[in-house]
Amino acid sequence: MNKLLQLLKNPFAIIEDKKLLFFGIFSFIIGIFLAYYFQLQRQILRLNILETPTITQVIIWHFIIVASLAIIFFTLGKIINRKTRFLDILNTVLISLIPIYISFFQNFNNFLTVQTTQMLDAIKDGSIYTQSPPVLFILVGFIGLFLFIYYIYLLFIGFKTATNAKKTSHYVLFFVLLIITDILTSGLINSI
Amino acid sequence: MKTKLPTLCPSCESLLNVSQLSCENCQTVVQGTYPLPIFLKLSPKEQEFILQFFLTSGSLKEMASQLGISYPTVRNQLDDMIQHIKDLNI
Repeated sequence: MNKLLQLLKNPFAIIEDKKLLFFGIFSFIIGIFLAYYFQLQRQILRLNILETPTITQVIIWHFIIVASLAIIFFTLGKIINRKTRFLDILNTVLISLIPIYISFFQNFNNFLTVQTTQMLDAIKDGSIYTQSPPVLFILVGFIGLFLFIYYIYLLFIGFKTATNAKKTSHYVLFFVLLIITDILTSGLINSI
Repeated sequence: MKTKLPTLCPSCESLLNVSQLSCENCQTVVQGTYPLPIFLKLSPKEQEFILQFFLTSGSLKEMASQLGISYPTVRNQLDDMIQHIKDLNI
């Protein structure tokens, strides 16, 4: 139990880099198929519902996310600590995305698509103020939020372990770069 | 019982000095003020780390495997220790 908690708290501190890479690549491939199956467009800090993405599009989007995050954080990592290894940053990005892949199940049976369409319709006709959302939708939303927070946490803790960053300025730079990378890649992903 | 050499003052937590050394064979006693060796100024955990580092011929990868932790964690511990030793003004 203690080991499991330790693993959830910081897998990058205890698991060997080769094992992390293996799990990371494996989950990355599964994640691509899940995104394709559930018709979801994953971006760094957002999740869009699409009607018919092609498998090629989904693969390219996922490669853009992993490559951009790995390159940006490796550059920042090298500035903070010259001993930072690309492998540790790549593992951080690949492993941190696992909670996001799990969150794809939110759209099981088109649940998210149906619920968001109903909500958008309710906003359009003004009935949103008189309706209360289904309990399951709220529950799924909270689980999705929790998984998103855990994804950001893993990304941060993995970066911290890979770079030995300790200063507040390093943490601020990390989050600023995360937001900038999301904005830049969002344009690129939407253009494909 | 194996007693532990105290390195910090129990009253003010400053580093202690060696003020007396004695020979068990002839009971000769040497008195003076000698600073503790660098190794003893480090925490038991840091001393253990150095010993492990030495026993693995300085291989951080082997250390990581033996301690059951990842390579960057061992490297970070080493970097923190290097900084600590530098801070001791040695």
